Amino acid sequence: MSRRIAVALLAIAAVFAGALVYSGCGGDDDDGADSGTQGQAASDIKPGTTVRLWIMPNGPQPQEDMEAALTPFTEETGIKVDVEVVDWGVQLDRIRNAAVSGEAPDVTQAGTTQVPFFAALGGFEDLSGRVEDIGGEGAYPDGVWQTTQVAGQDGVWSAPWFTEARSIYYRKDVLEKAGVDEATAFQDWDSFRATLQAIKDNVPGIQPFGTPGKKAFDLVHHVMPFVWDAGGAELSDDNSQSTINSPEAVEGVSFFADLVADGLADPSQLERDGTQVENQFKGGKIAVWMGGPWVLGSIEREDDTNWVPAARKNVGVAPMPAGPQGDAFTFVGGSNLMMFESSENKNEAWEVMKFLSQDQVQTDYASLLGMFPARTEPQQSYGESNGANFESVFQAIQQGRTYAPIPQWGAVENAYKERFGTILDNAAQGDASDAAIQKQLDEAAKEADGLLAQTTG
Amino acid sequence: MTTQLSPTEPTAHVIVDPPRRRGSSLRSSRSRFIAALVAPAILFMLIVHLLPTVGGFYLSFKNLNLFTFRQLFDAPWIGLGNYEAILFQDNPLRTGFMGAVQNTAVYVFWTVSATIGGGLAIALLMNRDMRGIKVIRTLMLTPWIVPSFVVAVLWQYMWQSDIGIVNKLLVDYSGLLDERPVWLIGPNSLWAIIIPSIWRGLPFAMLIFLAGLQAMPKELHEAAAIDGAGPFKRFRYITLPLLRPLIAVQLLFGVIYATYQFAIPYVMFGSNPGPHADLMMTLIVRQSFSNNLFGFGSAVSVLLMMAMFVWVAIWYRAFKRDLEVA
Amino acid sequence: MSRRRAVNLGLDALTWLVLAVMLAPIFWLVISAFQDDLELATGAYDLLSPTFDAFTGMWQTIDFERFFVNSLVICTVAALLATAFASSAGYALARFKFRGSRTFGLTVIGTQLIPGSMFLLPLFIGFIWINQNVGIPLYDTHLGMIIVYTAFFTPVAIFFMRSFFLAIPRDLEEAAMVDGCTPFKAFVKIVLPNAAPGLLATFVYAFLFAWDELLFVANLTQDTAETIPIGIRTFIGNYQQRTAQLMAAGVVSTLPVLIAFFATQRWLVKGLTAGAVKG
Repeated sequence: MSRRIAVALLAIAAVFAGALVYSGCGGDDDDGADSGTQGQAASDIKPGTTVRLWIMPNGPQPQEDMEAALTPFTEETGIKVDVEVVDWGVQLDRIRNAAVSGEAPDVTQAGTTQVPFFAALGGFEDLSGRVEDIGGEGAYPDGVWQTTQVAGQDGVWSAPWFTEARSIYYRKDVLEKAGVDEATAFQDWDSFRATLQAIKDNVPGIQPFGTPGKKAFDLVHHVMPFVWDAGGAELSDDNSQSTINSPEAVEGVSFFADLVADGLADPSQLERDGTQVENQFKGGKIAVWMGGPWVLGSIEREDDTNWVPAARKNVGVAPMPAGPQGDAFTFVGGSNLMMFESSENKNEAWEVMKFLSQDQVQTDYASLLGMFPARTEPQQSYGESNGANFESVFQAIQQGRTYAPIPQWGAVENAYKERFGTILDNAAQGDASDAAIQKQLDEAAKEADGLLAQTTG
Repeated sequence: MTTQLSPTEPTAHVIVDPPRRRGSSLRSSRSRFIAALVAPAILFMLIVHLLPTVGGFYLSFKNLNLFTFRQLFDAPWIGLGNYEAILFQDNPLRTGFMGAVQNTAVYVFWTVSATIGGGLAIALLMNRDMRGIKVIRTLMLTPWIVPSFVVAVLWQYMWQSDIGIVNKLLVDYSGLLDERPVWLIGPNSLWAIIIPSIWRGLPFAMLIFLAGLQAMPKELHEAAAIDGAGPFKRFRYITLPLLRPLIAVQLLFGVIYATYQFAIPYVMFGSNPGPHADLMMTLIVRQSFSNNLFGFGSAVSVLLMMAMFVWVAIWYRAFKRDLEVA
Repeated sequence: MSRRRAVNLGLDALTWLVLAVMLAPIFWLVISAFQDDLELATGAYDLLSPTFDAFTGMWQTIDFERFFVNSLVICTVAALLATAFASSAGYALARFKFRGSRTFGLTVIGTQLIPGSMFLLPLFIGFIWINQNVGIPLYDTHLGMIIVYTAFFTPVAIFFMRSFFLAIPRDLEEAAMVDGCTPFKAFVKIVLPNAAPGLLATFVYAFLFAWDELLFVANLTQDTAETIPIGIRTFIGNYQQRTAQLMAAGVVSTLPVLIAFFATQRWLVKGLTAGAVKG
């Protein structure tokens, strides 16, 4: 009898095996249903439903902040929101797995540069039928609206949520000690270098500048503005080829790498990721740093214990320095909200997204985080009413640029990030020669070309 | 952790075929019994090991990338396209491949040789009578118990060039070095993973060799000593040959395990350890999951597995007289 | 003789030194866990004022309880199942030379040769397929991870158990069978109890492996079934730099396997070294 059982078990296994391998795996069973809904009646929404929302760590207390922001929503509509925080390090894989497996929340946050990738992957809801509810294209600055689009694929794939732009952060007291005038310290590349040199020469005990290396997920956002300033670009105009190895790009990367090679940037920061270097700035170890507006939000927060008093009280913000051609580009990013096709509560999920797109809610949440609202009007009034530092960031957003909205961008950015990291590492070891940089960028371009050439069949 | 299998097969406790009896009822009931014993294990291995391996093999012939991922097994077929891209074409997608091969080779060489050599040396040291030796032997095993992700996190912190304890010891406290070496970037980053790997692997090797040393009949050593052989000669001509089977097994699994190392570089450096510390597994995982080149990643896995089969074949020829495989 | 004594003393000292060097990183882990984040971030170690903050804080800043419980549940159940399957298969390999035993043994070793990355995507796809066609959710579930871990660690456990069975004289079973016991009953009632230390050791061995596993849980779980190896990385994530808590979590993550090991180390060592001791 045991033999028969054993044989039966093996037979079942064989059937499983055959089915698994030969039938392949079907696509999702859910058809993207309600994307055509033009507005929705209040009766379409069922109070008591729970909407699952994924967010990334948007501040020191991401869960609490988000839940607090959503409390009025739940009180008003009766829809509960189950918030889950997914770390930036794993969010890409998680969202991708969720989209493909169908085991997904209803709404997720996604980085603005990731939207094309997810849209092309499939599994997300096209919002074009709903987006008029929140004002459509007209309610958002051009650059922000672009992040909801994908080159080559119609539709609106996300709702913009908040915006950020990178700027220069510096210690006012250190600049004073170094004898540098704040107003002109960072106005162009030359004065930027001169400022760092002055700090190095005159203020012992603090490193002039620090940048993370390949461990930082946003390394490319720090280096690319210099490439843009020099006239270079990450891809050709038609997005078919990488131009990261052009002479202009080499010039831009070279400027940045020279900061490391010449001792103006602390090499030990390269071992760290973005957050760790940010904390070095807060901890008073580096005088100048490039980062996003969330740092401004954390100055006031007592629970952020990474600040030392001298740093907390003396933060200054300046737009990025202008390059040889007079441009002072910066990377503008932020996050958008995307709805999963597999959601069974699309109407309720859209209510959540609508709520988070309201002007006041945007302003309140953004100010909690130190980000900027994505919508045009709140963004402007936010920038103008919060002091000089926020005004600087607002100016930076107007000079902002982002990357090509192609699905392969994430992988291309990885390829660039790897090479930028290697370039900086080499610079830390003393080699920031043009030849070395060119070699790395050539390899980056080659890999990017290969990634761009990926086809659907 | 490395696995262990017995080099020799004591045959005393094996029940051989019973003498033929009338009818085959005893034999068939015995067969049923054996089948029932091994069935669950076979079932699991089939479903979770062998099937997915076939699946992985199958996927290596497919163009599975970001655009086609949702089709999963139905993605378009490209035959040997992935393999050609890796091995023969100067394809942009194979950047990093040769570097990872080289890094892995260096990593395996140093990790395995230091683990075996060091393990043997420490085992010899532990094979003495001294006060507290039993406690020492037990405590020595601790690095092996520490989970590999804790090892990675701990050593990543220790290797920091400005605030890490390693540099503090080398430069600040002892003055051995003048300049602070940088461990987490550049060529040293491979050592940043080799050293913790050795640290973690030594206790296990020590344990195995110590057991072997203790099982050695003392008479052989005594006889040799009487004949005038010094300790080194005795080691070389008696100890080492008797330990050879154990060394052989450590070598086999050591190389396999080191080649497939993933956790330590991944937790220490992230998905991209850099050109000096990128190992085969971090390359595969990165190309597959970060760059969405799943078909490519499968193909590299297949090649890696074939390389391991070659290794096993080489090892078997070198060491087959040292053991009987069950 | 004083020269021999000197040599012995020297070797004693060397032994203690080697032990100290090997344990030093672990000491450092524990010491760091008693510092606070600012001290660790700036390297201004203060060994004289230890604080428990990291140990209490680590449960609050991230959902470490969930990771810990998940790890505990998944690894324990998987280790139990692996031990159960391994004991029956190991017994068969130890006692019987049957047709296919050589192939079986080789296949078991062969499973160790396959890189994890080969299984990963097919398993993911398989989980999705089973969910869609058979209705059993496996992705990001405890069940899914238990199945995977059981299957992975059974082969290693088989050889482990086999060596324990080899050490048990077959006279006991034979006597029982002469008395009329079926082989199965003899196995369950006579052999298994005698192999109890081996079962325990195999369980701990499988548990050690499962506790450590990283690649699969990274890709086959999301939030429900996340275990410590993945969850622990969120201490050093964005906006968080809780090094002290990370170290504390490292200590806490090591404790279960440490306790399991030291509780069973006598038999565990016996099992590990069984092959080294002939006969």
